[in-house]
Amino acid sequence: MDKASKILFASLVVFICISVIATYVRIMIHKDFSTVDDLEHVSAEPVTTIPIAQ
Amino acid sequence: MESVLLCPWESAQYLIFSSNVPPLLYYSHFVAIIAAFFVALYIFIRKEKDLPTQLLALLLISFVIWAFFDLILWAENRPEYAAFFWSLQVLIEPLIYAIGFYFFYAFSYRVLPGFKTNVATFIFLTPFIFLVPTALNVHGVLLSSCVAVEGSIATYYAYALETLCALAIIVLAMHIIRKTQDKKEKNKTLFFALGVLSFLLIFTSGNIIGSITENWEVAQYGLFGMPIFIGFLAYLVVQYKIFNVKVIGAQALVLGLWLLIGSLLFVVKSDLSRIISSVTLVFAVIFGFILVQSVKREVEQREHIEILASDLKVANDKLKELDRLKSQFLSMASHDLRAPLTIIRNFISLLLDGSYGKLAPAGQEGLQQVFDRATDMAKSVETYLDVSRIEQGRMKYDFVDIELVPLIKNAVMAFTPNAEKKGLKLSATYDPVLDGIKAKIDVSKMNEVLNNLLDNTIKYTPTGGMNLSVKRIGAVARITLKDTGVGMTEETLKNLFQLFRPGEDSKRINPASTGVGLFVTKAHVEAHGGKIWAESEGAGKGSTFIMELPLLG
Repeated sequence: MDKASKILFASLVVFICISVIATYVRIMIHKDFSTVDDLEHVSAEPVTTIPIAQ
Repeated sequence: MESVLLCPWESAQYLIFSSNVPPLLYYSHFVAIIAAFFVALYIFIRKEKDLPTQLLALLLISFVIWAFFDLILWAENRPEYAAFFWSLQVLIEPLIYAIGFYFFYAFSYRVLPGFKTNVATFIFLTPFIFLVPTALNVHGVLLSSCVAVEGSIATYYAYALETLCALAIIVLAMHIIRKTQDKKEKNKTLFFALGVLSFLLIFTSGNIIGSITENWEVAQYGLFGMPIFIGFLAYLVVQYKIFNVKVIGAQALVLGLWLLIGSLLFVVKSDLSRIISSVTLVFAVIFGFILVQSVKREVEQREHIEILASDLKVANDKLKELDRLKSQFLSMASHDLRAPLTIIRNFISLLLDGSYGKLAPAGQEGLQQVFDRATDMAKSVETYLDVSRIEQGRMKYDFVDIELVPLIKNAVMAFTPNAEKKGLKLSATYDPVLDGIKAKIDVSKMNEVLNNLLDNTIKYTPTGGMNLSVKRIGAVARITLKDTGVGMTEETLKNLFQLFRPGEDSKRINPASTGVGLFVTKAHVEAHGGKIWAESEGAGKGSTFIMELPLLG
């Protein structure tokens, strides 16, 4: 494999790591997502969300 | 006081064990995870790793991670876990498809794709990877089922990437099938493409259907398609010898045994049973380890032998090429020598005839010597040309139906003076039943054969004599030439008719011997449908040459 391709793949691996960490921080730490009641989700648009209890 | 929203089932143990998970799902996932994990592990611990198997290991490890996340998603009742692992699953799926494409490419071409393809992969994947942590991927979780509410990244971008990779595999496979002429190669490519595509579609089929229909129950059946992929791996094992079946089999057997005995420790109640199980486990570990090691050693030895055989084949091919070059050189050199030799002999012949005036007696004698040596040399050149023709299969024979006995008689008569000059007695006996019986003979080649045999027998017989007898034995005429000469050792007899292998005895008596004459003789006899061999009781005990030629009547 040429050097440029190696750099591309190494960058991809780094991006994936960053992405996983960012996802962890967003969801597991900041809890930045909504919990949705099924009935509301099916019947209503836009979706009504219930803020997660802290 | 802090309250936490949970999906309506009991908490999972060790992330994956929960009453919410249908038993069927454990079965479908565990079998696939264990199979993929062990194959990947085997590739990693293998000494020799080539590119396709490394990519296959990467593919399988990614799949194991994906399947494990899938189990967590079914078992966990905490929404943040559902959102997090769902996001990661969305991230892994297109990556598995991309690895699948690279695996197929590497298996087909034995190298990775070029820079342009790598740039394209980078361009398509990078925005996706960066968008995975955003709300465009997963922005919510349905509390009743812990199913994520997907955004456009998960619903469209990921599936678009997967479709693109699948299409790339199909296009590449069609390209290879169209280009190659070899049917076996076409089948191999087709099978590989189907195998990789089946694998990719199988593990995402549940999620694709779930995303479209919002019926996630179907996902538990998706991995039941894994046997297709395992079948595909089995094909790789058998057809292309990618893995050592024996080692894998032994390792699987030993591991199964360890797990079985180890699990007993958790089941049995009494201390005595635990002690017995522990001791059994220790023995199973020790003997299992020895078994795996011995199987590995055996497989390594076999691989070593295979490498040696392959090296031998390469060396053999090189030798054949050298042999071909030698024949070519012999042919060229002989041709280049023959023409000037003919001119030299012609002019000497004219000088000896007195065409350029009468020569002094001393000059005449010297010139006669030159003429004789030139004639010998011309004969040698002709013999070398015969050798190259025989080796290249270009020797031409002009067969005619003639009586064999008169031909032999003429040869014997021609050599009688030579024998007498050396004080030897050359006698011949002919079976009267052969009178009038014809054989298919190339006269000039058969004369060459008889001359070679008679010349040799006179050369290698210092005292006594030789007898030539011709007898009919069934449908063949047997010509036996027995002498009281120097005889031959077993070693000489073994290589007697081989090219450039003059025996030690013959080189001592006749230093000019090259080991060409008998090679040509044998080739001529065999071209007549006959056979020739020699017998001797040992050095100093005389030799017998026996030749058999098929008769027509």
